[in-house]
Amino acid sequence: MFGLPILEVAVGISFIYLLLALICTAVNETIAGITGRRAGFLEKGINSLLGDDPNLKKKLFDHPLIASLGPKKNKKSSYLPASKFALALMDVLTGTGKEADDPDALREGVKAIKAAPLRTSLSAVLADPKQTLATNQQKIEAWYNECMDRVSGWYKRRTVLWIWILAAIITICLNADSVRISKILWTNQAVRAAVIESAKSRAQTESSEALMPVAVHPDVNAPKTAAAVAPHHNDVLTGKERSELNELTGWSDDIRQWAQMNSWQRIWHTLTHFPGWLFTIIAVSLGAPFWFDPLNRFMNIRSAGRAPDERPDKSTGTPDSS
Amino acid sequence: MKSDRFQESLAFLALFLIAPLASAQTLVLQRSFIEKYKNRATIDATFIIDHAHPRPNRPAKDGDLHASGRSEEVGLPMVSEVMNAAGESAVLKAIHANEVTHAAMPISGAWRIWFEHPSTQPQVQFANVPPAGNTNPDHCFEIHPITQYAGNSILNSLHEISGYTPKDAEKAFGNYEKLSATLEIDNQTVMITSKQVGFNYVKFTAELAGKPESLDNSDAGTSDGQVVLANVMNNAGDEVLVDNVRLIFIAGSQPADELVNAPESATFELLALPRVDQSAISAFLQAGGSGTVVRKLPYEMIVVEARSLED
Repeated sequence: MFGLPILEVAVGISFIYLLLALICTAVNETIAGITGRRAGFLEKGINSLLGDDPNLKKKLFDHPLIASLGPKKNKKSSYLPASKFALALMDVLTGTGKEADDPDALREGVKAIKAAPLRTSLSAVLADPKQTLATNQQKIEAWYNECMDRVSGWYKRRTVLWIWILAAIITICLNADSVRISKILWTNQAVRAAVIESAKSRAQTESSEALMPVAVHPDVNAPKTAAAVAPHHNDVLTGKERSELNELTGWSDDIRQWAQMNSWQRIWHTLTHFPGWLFTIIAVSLGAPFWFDPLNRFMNIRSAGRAPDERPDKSTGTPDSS
Repeated sequence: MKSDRFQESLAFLALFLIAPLASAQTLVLQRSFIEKYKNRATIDATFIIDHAHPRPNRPAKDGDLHASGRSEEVGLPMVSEVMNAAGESAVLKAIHANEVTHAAMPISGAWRIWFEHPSTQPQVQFANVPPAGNTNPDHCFEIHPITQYAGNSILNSLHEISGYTPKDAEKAFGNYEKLSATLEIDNQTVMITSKQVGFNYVKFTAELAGKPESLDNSDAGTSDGQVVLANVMNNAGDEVLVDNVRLIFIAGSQPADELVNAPESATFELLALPRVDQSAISAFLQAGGSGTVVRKLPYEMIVVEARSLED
């Protein structure tokens, strides 16, 4: 307990936004995984490069360099490195029996492309009037990377839209009304104390995870080889966090109150949630990292009362002269 | 009741005022760039100079000369820095000449991603990079130290900076170890958000933990350096501060020569610069890391001076 109710309400509401944002991200990632959204966007990007030549597309996607990237047989990869795309395309265009980097065979292969836009684009890419790139592979890689920048933009825009939709669905399904949540936190000291404890625990867990490396070197004699540490996520919320979310959100109170209301009163009562829902939707759509930082800041305000051995090292990195 | 509402409003106001202050510095890297440079000591690029310091920094400051500019291969706001610049008159002359003409000239040197002069706005790789407004624009990417510019090799400039007091090892590594980063991963990019950090040119003792491996510069088709894991010791030299730190030695430099002649488990006194370890990020991506994660910022050290303590 900080002894400052206003600060505790702020911590509590930040924490609830963080939990809702975590749920939102997890649902979004799950949907993206099930629907193959990343792979779909990648394919869309490659389609925009290759244009209307289904035969060439099939040959490219069936090429062992690309087919082997998929997580399962017949399931497309969500990431295709530029080098593999360039090599596979060059190999497909030069045909069997020729080296993929044979410039004459590649030129002939490009001339033989049926789709005129792709033929024109690739001829221009390989001609490279600026002569800034040395090899044909590098030229195709640069062309591919440029396209993938656009794909990244499309994906991000679509993800933002999904996050807004999911934030709205989660907020309304859970009846996560910011005004009501803050009221409960303000008036119910027991709930507030429990939420603060959970927020502290989450902040500590995240801090320890924040100091977990992304990778380690299992063999000291192989410094170029790193092994990833826990690349996959654990449970989104703990049981305690779920029960606190239940305490502050949900429809059970409303349903109880509806029993004593007529239809118009029920509609009006539901409408009163709209400002609070809107606030929550905006907050949740900002994402979990956004709420984790203010949560930590609020927690750190507590450091004014910390014991001397608890005080953080103030020697933070300041810019050097360079 | 009115007072309650007022306090509730204050809580919301405080929340939304503090939240934006939490914004950190964000760099969006292409995954292809990470894959390309994860195990390279250096980068070969063409560099257009927008502004350069008229003269090198004083030795007490660090003795470097800054030039801000742009590079097609990097695609980010950047600077390049000549180490011990006072002794490199030919390169300084070329830099100042090209500051006027803005000619794109070949440059080589250690690539360095570090959140030292970050922008409040995200910097997105291969987005439009406008000309720099001064010698030290907001940037997270450097070529530092430069090893070659416009055909002039300055590998010999990698040595101790006379008159400069390097950063303390315990303080510097203590800070590096506390740095966290948020990685937001999508199919083509990795967005890295981290806090501002300095601590360049740190002097420390390190004991080699394993054998060195060659780093390949595929553009040139040759090795451009060595990488080795080492245990960084405390100032007294009797305890390990951090284990298995990647040390990067640039081919042809004095530290690389020193490493070649070193026995297994040799101990060195080193002067080095930190940079983000792209190989660790790559390993995480290759293992299927996705979505948003908060982790320790992976780093490695570019060694610019080495002295064996084996005698």
